[in-house]
Amino acid sequence: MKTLRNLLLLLTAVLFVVSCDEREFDMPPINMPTTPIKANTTIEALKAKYKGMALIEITDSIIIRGLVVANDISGNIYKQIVLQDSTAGISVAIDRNNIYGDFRIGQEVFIECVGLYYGEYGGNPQLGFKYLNNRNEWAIGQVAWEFFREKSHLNGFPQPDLVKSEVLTIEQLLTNSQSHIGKLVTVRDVYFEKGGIEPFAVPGANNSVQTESKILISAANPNNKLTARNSSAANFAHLIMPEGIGSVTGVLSIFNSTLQITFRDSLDCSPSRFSDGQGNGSKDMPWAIEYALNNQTDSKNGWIEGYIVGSVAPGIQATNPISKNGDILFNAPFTNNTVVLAASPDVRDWTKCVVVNLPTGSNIRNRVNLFDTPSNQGKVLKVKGTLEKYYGAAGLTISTGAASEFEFDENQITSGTGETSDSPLSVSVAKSKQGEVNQLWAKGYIVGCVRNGVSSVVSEADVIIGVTSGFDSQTNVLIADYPNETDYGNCIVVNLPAGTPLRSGVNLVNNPGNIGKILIVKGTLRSYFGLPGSRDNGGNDFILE
Amino acid sequence: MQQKYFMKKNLYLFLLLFFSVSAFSQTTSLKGMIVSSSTNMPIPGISIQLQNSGLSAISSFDGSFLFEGISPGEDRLFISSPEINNSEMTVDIIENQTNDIGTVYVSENARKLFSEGAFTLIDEEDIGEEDQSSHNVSSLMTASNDVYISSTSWNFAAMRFKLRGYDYRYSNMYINGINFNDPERGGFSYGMIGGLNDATRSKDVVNGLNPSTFTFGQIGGSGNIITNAANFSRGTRVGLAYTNRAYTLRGSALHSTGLMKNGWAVTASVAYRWADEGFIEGTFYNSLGYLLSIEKEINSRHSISFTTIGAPTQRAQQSSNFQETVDLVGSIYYNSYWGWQNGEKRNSRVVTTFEPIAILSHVFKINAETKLTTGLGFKYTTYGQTRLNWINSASPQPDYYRYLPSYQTTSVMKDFYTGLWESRNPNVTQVDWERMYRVNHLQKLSGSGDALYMVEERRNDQMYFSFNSTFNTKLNEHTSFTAGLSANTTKGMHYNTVSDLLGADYLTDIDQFVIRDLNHDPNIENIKQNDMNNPNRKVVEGDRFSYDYNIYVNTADLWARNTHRYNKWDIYYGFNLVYTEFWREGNMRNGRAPENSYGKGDVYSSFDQSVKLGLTYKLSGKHIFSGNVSYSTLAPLTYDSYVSARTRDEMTPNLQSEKIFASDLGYSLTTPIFRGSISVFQTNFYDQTRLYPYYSDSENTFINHILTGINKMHRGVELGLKAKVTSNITLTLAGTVAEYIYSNRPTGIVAFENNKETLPAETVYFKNFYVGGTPQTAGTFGIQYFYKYWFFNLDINGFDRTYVDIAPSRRTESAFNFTANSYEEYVDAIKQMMTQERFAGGFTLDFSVGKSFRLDSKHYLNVNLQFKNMLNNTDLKTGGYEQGRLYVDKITQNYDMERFPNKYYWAQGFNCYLMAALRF
Repeated sequence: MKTLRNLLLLLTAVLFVVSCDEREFDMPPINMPTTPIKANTTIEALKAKYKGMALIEITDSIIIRGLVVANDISGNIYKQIVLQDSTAGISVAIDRNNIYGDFRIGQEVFIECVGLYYGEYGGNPQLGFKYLNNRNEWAIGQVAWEFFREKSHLNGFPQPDLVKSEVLTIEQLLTNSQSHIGKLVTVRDVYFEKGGIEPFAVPGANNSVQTESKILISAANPNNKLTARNSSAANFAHLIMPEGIGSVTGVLSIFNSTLQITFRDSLDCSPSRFSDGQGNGSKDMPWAIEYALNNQTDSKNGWIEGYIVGSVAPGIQATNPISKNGDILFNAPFTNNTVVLAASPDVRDWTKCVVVNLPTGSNIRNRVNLFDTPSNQGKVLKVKGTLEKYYGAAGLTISTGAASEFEFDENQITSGTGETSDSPLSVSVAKSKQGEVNQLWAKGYIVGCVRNGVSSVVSEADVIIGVTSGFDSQTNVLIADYPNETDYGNCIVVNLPAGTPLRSGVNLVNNPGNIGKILIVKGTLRSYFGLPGSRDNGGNDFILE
Repeated sequence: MQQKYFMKKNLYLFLLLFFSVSAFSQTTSLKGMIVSSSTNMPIPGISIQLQNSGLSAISSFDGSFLFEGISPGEDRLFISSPEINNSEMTVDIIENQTNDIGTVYVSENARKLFSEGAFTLIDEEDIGEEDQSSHNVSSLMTASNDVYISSTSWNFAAMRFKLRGYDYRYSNMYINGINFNDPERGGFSYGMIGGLNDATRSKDVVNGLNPSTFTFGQIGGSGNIITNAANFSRGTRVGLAYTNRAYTLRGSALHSTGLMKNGWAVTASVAYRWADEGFIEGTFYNSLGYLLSIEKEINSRHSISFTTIGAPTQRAQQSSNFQETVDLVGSIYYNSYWGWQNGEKRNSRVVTTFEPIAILSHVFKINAETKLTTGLGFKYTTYGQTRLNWINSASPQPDYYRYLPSYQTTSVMKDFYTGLWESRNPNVTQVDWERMYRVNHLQKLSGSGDALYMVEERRNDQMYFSFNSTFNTKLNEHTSFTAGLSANTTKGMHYNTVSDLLGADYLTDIDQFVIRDLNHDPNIENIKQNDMNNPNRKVVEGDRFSYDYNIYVNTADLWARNTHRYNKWDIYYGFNLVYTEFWREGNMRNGRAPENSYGKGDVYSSFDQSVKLGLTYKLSGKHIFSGNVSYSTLAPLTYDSYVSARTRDEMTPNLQSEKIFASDLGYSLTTPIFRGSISVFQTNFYDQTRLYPYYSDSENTFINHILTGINKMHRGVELGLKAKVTSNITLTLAGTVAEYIYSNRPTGIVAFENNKETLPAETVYFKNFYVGGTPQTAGTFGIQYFYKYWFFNLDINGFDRTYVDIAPSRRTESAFNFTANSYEEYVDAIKQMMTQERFAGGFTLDFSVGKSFRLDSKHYLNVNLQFKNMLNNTDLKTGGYEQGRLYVDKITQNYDMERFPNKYYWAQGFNCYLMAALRF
C-alpha cells in the first residue's frame, strides 16, 4: 500500500507539471520598420526615363521612394498598389491578394527597382514583371510577392494623414492629364451620369467578376467627361451611385486614350460628398439657406452656412412673433442674443432669413454677436444646430454655442455694394458678379499670383499661392477673402497695368512683403488668365492696407 | 411384482445415467498454471484457448487457469499473449476428472513484453487532416494467436496497413466489456488509453466475426481490454524508454496489490510520454496516462470492479505534403504548420485532448457453466484542434500553391523561389507568425480592431454513457450459448472557439466569403451572420463562434449466438438486432439557413440486423478447414449523415443503412514444426454513405462532397506461417495479396459551408478504382533466434500497391465539362484527371535484440532495443489524397492538373525504440 501511495503521489506531481506546460506564446514585439536606404530618383524621373516602353527591364540601380496612396482594401483595385512622391505617382503590380494588409495607405516605401520591369499597358505606366501573354509575347505583368518583398523597404508606420490628393475639375484634368496619371486626385464639381439609378458595378455571367465603366460628367460643361472604372468585386459595388454634384477621389490612369479614375474604397465616392447644391448638413457641405428655409418641420440637425445680415429686434417672444421686416434689425444698434443669416449679404427680407440663437456667455456669442461687433455684418457664418422655427421665422437652434459648433473667421472680408472704396465687394461676391457692366470695387487679402508665362490657369502648378516668396509675375496678384487661402479657386486675379503705381506698388516680385496685405481695388469684373478677375483699372484706384 | 421391479431397475438405470451425464458434465475439467521460464514467476493475463471445447480463459493473478465442463479426449491448448512467445500443446482430457496439467512454462518475449506495439508507431499520430479523427491501427491484433494477424499488425503498422482493407469503424474495441467505439465517427481512439501499455496488456482478441464471449463481433475483429485489478500479479513494474518517433522519452510505472486475502485488489499505473520535438519537425508531445482499477471479490460467485482511465494529452500535428515541397526542402519530415515566434517553434495545429472513462462492472458466476457480466461505462471527451484562420487577408499557409516555385511562369522567378525554398528561408517555408501579428497591428492602427489573422480551436467534445450485459452459458457438452444486451447514449458537442487573436482586439462573427459572393443580396445583413440570434457579435479569446451544434445518438443492441462443437465439426450461428436514432441540435441560427439550423432537427432512426454462420471441419489435429459467412446492415454514422452539419440540419439524401456481405475460407496447419494458415476472403459492401470534406484555401471554407450508394469489394488471400526449425530458431512468413476496389458509380452531392447552395446530385465515376491508404500487397519474412534469455529478431517487410485516396470532385460530369484545343487533348486531360496514382512499393528491414536479466530473487530487468527501417527507406508513402479542387487556366480554359497536385504522408525512415523495464 505504501508503494501505491507513492505512486499516487507521483501521479499528482506529474499531472501538476504537465498541466503547467501550457505552451502559451508571448506576443512578439512589434517593431517599427526602418531602413537606411535613400531614394536616388523621383517617380517622375523614372517615368520620364522609360516613357513609351511597353516592357523593359530596369537594369540601373534606381531607388524610388513614395507613400502608398492606394491599395486593394475594397477589392476595387486588384493586385496592385499605387506609390506617389511629391513629383508623380506610379502603379506597382504585385501578384498577391489582400496586399493592403502589409501596405497600408500612408506607408512610406523605398523600392530598389533594379530587376523589376517597367511597362505600359494601354499607355498606363506601371512597375511589375514580365509575363508571357496568350499571344505568346512578353508583356508587363505582376511581380511575384517574394521578389517584391526583397525589393521593397518599409520605413516607419503608415501615416495616412500625409496622403493628400490634388483637387481639380475635369476641365483642369483634361487640359493637363499627363502629369496626373498615376496619382491620387480629387475631382470636384462632377456628377455621375447614372447617379441615383445604377450601382457602381454588377457581376458578370455566372457570378464572375467584371469591371464596368461608369461616366462622371463635369457640372460646368456636360461635354467634359471622365470614366470611372468600377469592379464588381468591390465591397461597395452593389451600392447605387450617388446623385447630385460633388467630388470623388481616386487613382488616375489611362487606357489607350481614355482617362480613367479608380476609387480606392467607398469613402472615395460616398454620397456624403455629393449634394444637389443644397448641401447635406455636414460640416464640409453645409445646407444652403434655402434648404434651411424649406426644412423647418422635421427637427433636422446639421450645419448651415449663410451671411450675417442682422439680429432679431427686442421684444420678440411667443406672444409677439416675427411677422414683418421691422422685427429684424438690419442696422446698428443690434441685439446680442441672436444673429440672422441669409443667402447673400444684401438680403433685407425676413422671409428669406434664418434666425440663429446665441446662448448667453457662449463662445459664439462672444465672437459673433453684432451688438459688440457690428462689423461682423456681411460676414459668412457656418453653424450647427437643429432646424426649427424661431418665434415665427425660420430658425436654427444651437445647443451650447461652443467652438465645435460653429466656424467663423473674423478676418474674412465682408462684402459691401462695390460702388465705393468704403463698401467694396468681398472676393466671393466679386466672383459671382463677373460680367457686370460697371466697374466695381473689390477687397481681398493678397495671397499670391498667377505664374509667369501661364496664359490660362488649369492647375495648382499654374499659380504661386500659399507661400511668402518665389513670386515671378509682376502683371497680377491673387486676392481672397481669407489671408491664409491656398485654393486659387477661391481667388480673383487682379490685373496690374504696366507702368502704373498699381503695378509698382503691389506686384509681389518687387514687393514680396505684400503677402497678407489687404488690397481694395476697382475694376471691371471679367475673366483673366481663365479665372474670375478684376481688370482695366486706371492704375491709381486702389488702396493697399 | 415383476413389472414394478423392472420399472425400478429402469428407473435406477435411468437415474444413474442421468446423474452420470450430470456428473459427467460437471466434473470434467482442466486446470494448470502459467509460469515464466525465465523468471519462474506466474504470469497473469495470458489468454488460453481450448480448441475443441471452444473455450477460452485468462490466467489469473497467480497464473492459474481453469476450464470446467469440457469435452473429454484429445484437445489442443493455445497459449498466447503479447508478452510471451505464443505456444500450444496437446492435452489429453480424462472425463470425470479434474485434469491438472500442472505448470506450463512459457518463454517471455521481451521484445513484446514492454513494447509499445503498434501504439508507438502511429500513436494518435497527428494526421493534420481537416477532420480530426485519430486514425489508429488496430494494434489490438498483436495479441492474436493467429500468425498472419499478429505478425502483420506488428510489422505492417508503420505503413498504416488495414486488415482486409477495412476502415477502422469495422473493428470493435471494448474495455471491461463496454464498447468504446465513437458512435459519431465509428472508430476507437487509442489516445484514450494513451501509452498505458502495461496496464492494458490483457486482451481478449477475436478475429473477424469468430465467436467471442463479449460481443457479436465485426468483420474487422474485436478486442476486449481487461483491466480488472485482480488480473494483475502483485508487484511493481517501472520502465523507461528512449525513442526517436512521435515522442522521445517514455516513463511508466505500474503497481498492483494483486488479489489480497481480503478479496480486494488495486492496480494503479501512470505512463508519461514526452518530446520537445518528434521526428517530424515542429511537433511536440506531452501525454500523461493514468489508470486506477479496484476490484472486490465479494465471494466465489460475485466480483465487482471499478476502473478509471485517462490520458490528458497535448501534441502538435504534421502536415500532408506535396512532393514538390518535400523535394525542395530535401526532407520527408517537412511540416508546413510551424513557424518561429520569439525564437521558439510554434505549431499552428495543436491537439489538446482528454478522454477520461470510468467503468463499473459486475461478474456473476451463476454456476460453473454460466456467467453474467454487466457493466456501466461513462466517457467524457474533450478534444480541441487549433488551426489558423484568416479573414480578408492573404493565406498564411507556406505551401499554398501560389507560394511555390511551380506557380511561377518565368524561369527567373522559378529559380528565385526555388532558392528561397531550398535555403529554408523561414519566412517562406514556414508560418510567418510575426507578420500576422504585424498585419493585425497595422489593422488596429488604421482604426479597426477586427482580426485579420487568428488561431481558432475546433472542439469536438462528447459525453457517452453505456450499459452492457452479456450472458454466457454451456447448455450441454456440445453447445454453448451467448447473448448480450447493450444500450448507449451519446451527446457530441461541436463548436469553434477563439484561441489566439494574435494581437487583435476581437473578431466579428460573420462569414467573410458570404459577403464577397452575396453582397448584392438585399438580405445580406442576415445571410452573413453565423448566429442570427447574436448578430455581428464581437468575440474574443475563449468565446465560441462560427458554429455550435450538438449531435445526439442513442442505440440499443441485442444479440445471441449458439456454438456447437463436435469431434469433427464445429458450427456457430448468431444474429444481432440494433436500433439507432440520432438527431442534430443547433445552438446558432446560421444566416444561410435561418429556418433550418437552430434547435432540434429531424430524427433519423433505423433498425439493423446481422446474421452470421461459421463452419469448421477438423480433418485431424493437424489440418483444419473453416468457413464463415455473414450478412449485416449498419446504420449510417452521424458524421456522414449531414450535408453541412456545421451550418444546417440537412440530412444526406437517400440516407440508408449500408449492407455488408462477408465470407472467407481457410485452412490451418499445426505440426510440431509448422503452424499457420492460409485463407481467402471476399467482402462486399453496398450502399455506403461517406462524407468527403475538403478545404478550399482559396475560398477559405469547407466544401463537403457526400457520396451515397457506394459499393465496394474487398477480396484477397492471406497467409501466415511459422516454422520452428530448431529449438532456437523460428522463421515467420506472412503476407497478403488483395484487391480493394469501388465496384460501382455512387451518387454525389456537393454542399458549400459558406453558401446556402447544395449542388444537384451527379454520378461519380468511381468504378474499379482502388481504395486508398493501405498496401494491397504486403509481406514479411522474419528470423527469430533465442539463446539463453537473449533474443534476436530480423524482419524484412515489403509493401506495394498502395493507392492515393481519390477525390470525387475529379470524377463527375461537371468536372469533364471543359474545353480543349482538340479531341486528343481533351482525352489526355481526362486521363490525367482520372488516373489514380499508385505509390512506389518498397522494403524495410527491422532488427531487434533483447534480454531478460534476473538481478536477484525479486528483481528482474528486461532490456529491449528495436531498430526499424534500418535501411532508412524514406520513399515509402503511407497514404495521400487527391485534392478536391480543380484549376481552370483563365487564359486557355483548360484544366491544369499541375496546379493542385496530390498530397502525401511518408513512413518514417530509420527509427529506434530502446527500453529497459524493472519488475519487483
